[in-house]
Amino acid sequence: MEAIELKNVTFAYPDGHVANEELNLVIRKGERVAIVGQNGAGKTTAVKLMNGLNKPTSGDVLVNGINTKNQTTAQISAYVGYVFQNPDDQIFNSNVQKEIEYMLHYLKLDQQEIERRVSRAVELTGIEGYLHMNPFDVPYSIRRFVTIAMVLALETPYIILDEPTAGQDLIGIKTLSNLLDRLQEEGKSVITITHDMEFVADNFTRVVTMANKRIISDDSARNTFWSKEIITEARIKKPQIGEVAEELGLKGNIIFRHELVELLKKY
Amino acid sequence: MNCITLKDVSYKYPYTEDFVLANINYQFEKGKFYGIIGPNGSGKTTFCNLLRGMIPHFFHGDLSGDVLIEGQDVRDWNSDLLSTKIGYIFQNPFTQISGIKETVFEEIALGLENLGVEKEELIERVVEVVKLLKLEKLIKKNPNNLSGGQKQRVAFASIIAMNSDILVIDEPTSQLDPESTDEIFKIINLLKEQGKTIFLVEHKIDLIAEYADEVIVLNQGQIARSGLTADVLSDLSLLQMGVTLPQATLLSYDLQKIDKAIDTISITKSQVKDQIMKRVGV
Amino acid sequence: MDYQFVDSFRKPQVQHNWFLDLNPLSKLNIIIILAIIPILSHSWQVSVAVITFYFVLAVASNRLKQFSKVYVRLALLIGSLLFIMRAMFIPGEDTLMKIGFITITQEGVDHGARFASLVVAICGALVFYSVATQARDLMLALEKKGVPHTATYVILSSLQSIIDLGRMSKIIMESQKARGIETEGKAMNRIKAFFPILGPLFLGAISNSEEKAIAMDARAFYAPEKNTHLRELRPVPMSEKLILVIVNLAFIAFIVWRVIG
Repeated sequence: MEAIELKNVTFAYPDGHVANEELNLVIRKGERVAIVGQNGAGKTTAVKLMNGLNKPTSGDVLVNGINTKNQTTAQISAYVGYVFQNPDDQIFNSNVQKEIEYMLHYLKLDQQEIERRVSRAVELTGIEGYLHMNPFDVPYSIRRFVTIAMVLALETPYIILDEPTAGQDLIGIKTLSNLLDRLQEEGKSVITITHDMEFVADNFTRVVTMANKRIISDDSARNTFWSKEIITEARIKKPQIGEVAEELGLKGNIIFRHELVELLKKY
Repeated sequence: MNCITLKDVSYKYPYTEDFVLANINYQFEKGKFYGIIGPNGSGKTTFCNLLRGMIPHFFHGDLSGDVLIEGQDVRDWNSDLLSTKIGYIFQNPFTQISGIKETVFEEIALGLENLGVEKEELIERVVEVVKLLKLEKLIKKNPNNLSGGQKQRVAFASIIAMNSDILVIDEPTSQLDPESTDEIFKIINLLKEQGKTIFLVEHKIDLIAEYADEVIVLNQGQIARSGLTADVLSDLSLLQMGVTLPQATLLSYDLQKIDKAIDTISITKSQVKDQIMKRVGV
Repeated sequence: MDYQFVDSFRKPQVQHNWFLDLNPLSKLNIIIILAIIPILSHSWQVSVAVITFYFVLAVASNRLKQFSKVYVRLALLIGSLLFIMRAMFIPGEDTLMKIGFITITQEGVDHGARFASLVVAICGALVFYSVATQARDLMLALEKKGVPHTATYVILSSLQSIIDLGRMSKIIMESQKARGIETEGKAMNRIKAFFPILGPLFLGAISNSEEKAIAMDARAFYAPEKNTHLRELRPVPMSEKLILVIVNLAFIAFIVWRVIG
């Protein structure tokens, strides 16, 4: 099956500390999924299970039917690209272009293919102006797009973004939003961890909520944000418009501004 | 009373061509909460370094114009005194942990030790800050082994413990979940109520709308807009600069289109709620 | 809040063990003497006695596990290596056996035993001191003696940065794997994957150091006041001073005896 599947997965660190308990999740080809939850809820360890950096202590993780237990992370990386939370952990080369090309040379692709992939990745992330700079001199919020471009160039069917919205301005958020649309058109799956609830409402229909090491809900953004139990247990917030609607006691599980305005027109 | 005054201030870092800040004029008053916003690369962090006196004491480069801190030119301030006068919390939680203390409690105490605070008072102040920031469960842990979000809260506590009059805070919540973010804002507001002057760089515009007294918008190294929060954050032209506006502001504009009776623009949740209630007649 | 923990700072830091609670500098004094004795005595029996004494001290100070975990392996490795090298290559007249072109002599064996046991004894001093004294306590004691806190900061933060570098290299290895570089399996794979990260690892550490300096400045590190200490060491009791005086006098007597005798 073309999907990432987590089947009853529990993960504990070598010191015995349990980080994830009984995760069950299927992410199909072309799907776009947001993962939300408090700091420490187990989001990052969960996505590391998907690319083989973490191997389940019990249960199984299948990527396109292949069990990650019997594979090295490098083998899984042909299917799952992972953009780390901190871009500095992923940067090695002396300029941005070399950084993006590094793996493509390692994979021994021909020059034409390398150029095609680099220009696509650069266009999607809007980093044309930084290609010849040292990655460490690129502003921090843009440096995140450098690592995204690097992973995009690998052209994997699944891409994981770990808190890409942190510290982004309006332009950065728009770039991310366009990127998600483009990847969906190309049939790629994107799994995004984020604390930005407006971004979730605007860009995702499927939201996985985590709390206390477990997945507590896997539902639409609307149902997630309008479930009292989920909001309380995962300690997340509705988008501001949703809060306004709730506090006014308006019906219709509103999360978007245009919905609220439509409703108010009737009065 | 003015706490920091900027007169025609321009600055560029050493060995660079372009000015990062240009022609900045502003009078910051004591006890106010200033929100500093602007697209990335607009000079916000440099602005913080200027307010904190890191420019010119730590970063050299070309500084022109006058920076007056409590009426005295920043160049004439003793930089060691400035560090106790103005607290500074920045983005990266990893570099803010000292690396020489083995428990969070001792980490928070470090600044006070350096200030020569006697032990009994020192312990009391650390306990107070631990309660304020709800760090009770972390006090025995090794600060070097905490997560990014936890480190940021410890860094915050460490600076607050030092009780400086002015606080410069550069994107303290970018690593934090919504709940911790709200808590941090509540604490910043509490500090303002204690009479401290706050400078906060932040992308989370809803919270700036909620708490800041005045907002400065930086764009390409210049002050593009400034003034009372309600005035600045109801300016739609900010969107063109790449600055987000609160959802409440946008909603308020939408409401105005369907209801001519609405003549003011709201910027916070509770204001826009009141406007809707009036229309709906609840 | 754990008030018991908070209150612990109101009293001197003690671990209720007579040796561990000695002032770090007193411990250092004793350990240095223990390290010098075998150097002066030129006899493997003395070295072995001193080594045994470290184990006795380790038991007495409840640190046997930590001590032997590091020391036994180190001692066996260094001790056997030095002994074999010396025993095989030191020439002498009293041949014990011949293996091919190597002649093992009584002199070589004696010399090897002496030298190996001496080095192992000195290592014992280092290892034992490190398990019996926390670096922060030693720094605190040094600060009390007037060493500036900038110096102790440099030492303590260097120790931490060794740990940080280890952690960073683990993260960077993870990121290498995640982008598809094979780091598992063959040793060659690991080396090939590790090599390119060394540059960025150290560059990253350097670029962090500027921010670290700003962070420390924000903590009033350079404030003109004399700094205070949250943790405090036990004041040195009379008995400890007395023990030190006796130990030092005995040591001087020992040196004098060695020099004259």
